[in-house]
Amino acid sequence: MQTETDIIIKCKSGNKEAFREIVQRHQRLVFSLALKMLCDEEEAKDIVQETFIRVWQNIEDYDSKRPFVTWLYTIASRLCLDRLKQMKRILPLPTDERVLQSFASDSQKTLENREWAAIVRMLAEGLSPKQKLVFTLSQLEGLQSSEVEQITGLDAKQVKSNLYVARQTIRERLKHLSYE
Amino acid sequence: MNKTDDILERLKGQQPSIDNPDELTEQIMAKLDSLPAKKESVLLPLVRTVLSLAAMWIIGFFIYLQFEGSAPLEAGNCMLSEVPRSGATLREVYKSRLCQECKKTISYTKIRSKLYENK
Repeated sequence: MQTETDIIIKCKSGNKEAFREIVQRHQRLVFSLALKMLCDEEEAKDIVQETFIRVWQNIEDYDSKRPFVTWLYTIASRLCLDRLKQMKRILPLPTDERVLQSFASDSQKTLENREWAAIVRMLAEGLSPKQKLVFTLSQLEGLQSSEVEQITGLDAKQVKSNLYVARQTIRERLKHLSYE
Repeated sequence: MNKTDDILERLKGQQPSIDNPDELTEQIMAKLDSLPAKKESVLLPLVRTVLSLAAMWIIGFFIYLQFEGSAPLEAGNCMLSEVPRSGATLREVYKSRLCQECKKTISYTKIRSKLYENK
């Protein structure tokens, strides 16, 4: 089996089949971030496409010393932030609270994509795009603080403060919904 | 663990999935095929060359001016006449004055006072 470095070297020389492998390996990761950021499945798929097109166009600029996933997340995050600026404010739908309620009461529940969108709409309402990005990367995607710093371009202190505010806002929101 | 942490932990353990990943991959690959080929810009290397030459010329000119400006200050290099003749023009008087200044030896105290006179 080829290592990621080998595949990237092939991509740099213009091998599209190697790039297909990259897309197959990582499209779910980009989709996951985009769905949580934009709370819309179709928008998320759009971001996945745009992200991989950017990756293909700029693969020569990719520094192999840096983890590829971090670079991929950086591109996807920027696209998500740009899309959030263009979109109207994301507000929770009347049915979203029921989804959250069902998730909170059933510890075995596996979420579908529309349920993911509903829960994030409920939890992240009122967060700024940057706070939402930091929260998504570190709490929902489970990335290390150093990785979040690299992806967002924020320093450790800024990441910490954005995450603190996001968590407090979510805590307040859950308290308001009588979950705390 | 409170309810917020519990909900967040459970969310971290799950990931959304793409309903038809192969279709999405094909769409991405099709878009790549329809991308226009990258054109190598002709203008950029040209501008780069012109600017490099201009920078080299400016540096060379600066060095030339440095040597040119320092030459008359050296004693003995002055080719001007020391004493203006009678009926000399203002230009000749000025030149001979420059020449006298040039040949005059200057003490360390004077250099120091000149250096610090504006401070």
